[in-house]
Amino acid sequence: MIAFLTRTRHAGRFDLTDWLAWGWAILGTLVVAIPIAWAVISSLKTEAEINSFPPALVPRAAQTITVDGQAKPLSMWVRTMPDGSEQTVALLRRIGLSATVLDPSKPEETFRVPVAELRQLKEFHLQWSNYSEPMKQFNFLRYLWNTVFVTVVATVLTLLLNSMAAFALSKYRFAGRNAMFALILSTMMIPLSVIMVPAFMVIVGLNLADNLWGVILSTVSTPTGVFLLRQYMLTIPDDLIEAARVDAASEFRIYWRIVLPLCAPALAVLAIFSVIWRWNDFLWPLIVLSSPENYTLQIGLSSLQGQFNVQWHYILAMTVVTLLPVTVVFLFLQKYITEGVASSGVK
Amino acid sequence: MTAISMKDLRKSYGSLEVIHGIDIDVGSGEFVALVGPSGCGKSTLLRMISGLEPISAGQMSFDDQRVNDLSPAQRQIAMVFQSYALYPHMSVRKNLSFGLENLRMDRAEINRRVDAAAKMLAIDGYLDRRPKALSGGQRQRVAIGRAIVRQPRVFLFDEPLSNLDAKLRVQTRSEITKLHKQLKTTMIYVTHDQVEAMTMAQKIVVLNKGKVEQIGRPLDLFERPANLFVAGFIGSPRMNLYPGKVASTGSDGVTLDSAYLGRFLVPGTGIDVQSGDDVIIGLRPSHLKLGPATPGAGGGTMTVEQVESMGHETFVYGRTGQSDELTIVHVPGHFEAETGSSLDFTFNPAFAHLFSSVDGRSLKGARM
Repeated sequence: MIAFLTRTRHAGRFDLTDWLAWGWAILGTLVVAIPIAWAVISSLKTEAEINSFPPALVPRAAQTITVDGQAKPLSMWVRTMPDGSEQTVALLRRIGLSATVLDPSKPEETFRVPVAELRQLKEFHLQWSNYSEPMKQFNFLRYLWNTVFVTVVATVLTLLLNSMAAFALSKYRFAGRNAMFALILSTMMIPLSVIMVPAFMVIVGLNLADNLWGVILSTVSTPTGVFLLRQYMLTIPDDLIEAARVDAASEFRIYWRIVLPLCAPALAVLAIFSVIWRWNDFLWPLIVLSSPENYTLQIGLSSLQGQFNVQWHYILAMTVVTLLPVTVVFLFLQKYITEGVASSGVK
Repeated sequence: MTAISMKDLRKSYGSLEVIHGIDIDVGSGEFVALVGPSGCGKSTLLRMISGLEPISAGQMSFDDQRVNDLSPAQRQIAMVFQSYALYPHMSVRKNLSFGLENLRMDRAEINRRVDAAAKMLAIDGYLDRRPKALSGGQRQRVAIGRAIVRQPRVFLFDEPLSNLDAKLRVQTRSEITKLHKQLKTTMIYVTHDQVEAMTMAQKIVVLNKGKVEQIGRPLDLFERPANLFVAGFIGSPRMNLYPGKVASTGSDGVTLDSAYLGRFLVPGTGIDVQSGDDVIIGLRPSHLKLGPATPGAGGGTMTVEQVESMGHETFVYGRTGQSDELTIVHVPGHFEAETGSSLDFTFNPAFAHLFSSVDGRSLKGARM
């Protein structure tokens, strides 16, 4: 591992190529990783801390103290006396440039000091309630379930339908095959915003508006998926399919037992794509779904953003949660991307 | 045990006809080889027999049952592909049992058959391996095993040995022959290698450009080729061919005149020539002998180009005459000759083949 990382273009010399390679790799990593790291760190900060400036790297919260005679806990501050000595005080209230503080050891004695003499005491603190609160308040589990349902069902259907289309387009010879393939590909060039209104009207006509199936069914057939799988299936030798035909396998069985398993690497790629697409999908679900109990995570997240206030601490926390499943799926499936098994049985 | 009969079988792709009316009868339990050069239509014909390729016209019957429109499964054939076409994602056992599972056969019966076939082909040691982990010869045997377990009516082989090295090819050749003796199933074997056809088949069909050139027992094809194509195709190295002219015909045979071989009498009756006809004289390398011509025998002189000695036999390649007719002489044992030196050769005219220089058909009806 060390040998791999310290490898250079010429042994023992660190030349321009290495500088550029390392620079590029590090820059790329930073560009991708910093926003995610910032989101994760900030999701553990209190609301006040997120909005404070300058921002802090470590999540902190104000230290508080419960003082006799005061209903609420008071925040702790350090007062720098005119003579340079320091004293810990609790802040009672603050008006303009002066504040009323008290010494926690003598709670009945209050005195007014200028704000400039005060410095707030903060301690390391992870605000886990950013995660737990929305789960209760915003019906987060419902959104999560909806999103998981949409993602899983849509991905399974995508893999099934697209591989069937790809199988027909790659392994059967029929009139109009290429025209049909070209037609499917050409739909790639039509963006959602163009077909949004007619597509929505179709969904309404099918009585699928405000229904998760309305989100699922209109996304399962993707030209990208058909293209990806067809190109991969072209590399499966026809001999295998003919051998299966001689082996008395039905056409569906050939598809199911021979073609699909051999397409596993391409299917994995499409599955990753589909999961990411469906999980992150915002515009289409926003159009189709209207009642909160049908919201997916992405729409639920946006509902945390009101007209006048943005609850960043909740948005960040929930964003981290929504990132996790996609990351896990990607980590789990990525090894299939490079793995090819189709050509090994045929010399 | 199935007899196959093909009547005026044709195959066209659009307006292009590639198989031009083929009639072949394969007896029950017979081992038939389809041979021919690349592109002669032998693989297409095999695929038509298998049911993978639709038949454009004509009739194909298995035991008097018309099978033109039946699928490979309904025809109950098994096929060994040139590429073996093993399912790469399945173990050897799964590869063997896949066809039987498709027939919804009883699990115990499947296992019994797979084990029996694996034992017979000596692949029982690696039933759990994937094809990727097998050598070429082992894959070959798995492919044959996949055909055996089905207990098909007909075995079809599509150049199954072409991916094996020479030693393995010889070994597998005899294994397939043994298999045929054991199973007594009808087998049709496609190859471009005439040695495979000669050594394995009981009957050879020589195809060229989508037509049957000759059907016969291996030795018949060798000894009595029906035309120039078969004469040139069967036998290795190929037959020596020289232009010649009929000088005279008589009751004891035909006297020929050749610029390369001199004048000699080919004995025999029923030779379909007339005096003055142009003919092509064919002589097998093994029928030529080095040495000066004896009276009554034909002979010529060649300039040696190359000598290939295999120790127990030697092929001498040379040119005869000014117009560079290639002559190959088979010499038993080891033999050495200088390149560029001149060698005399002679032959027994009784072994000469005669072909029409017009259409290439054999002019010698009788045995040589």
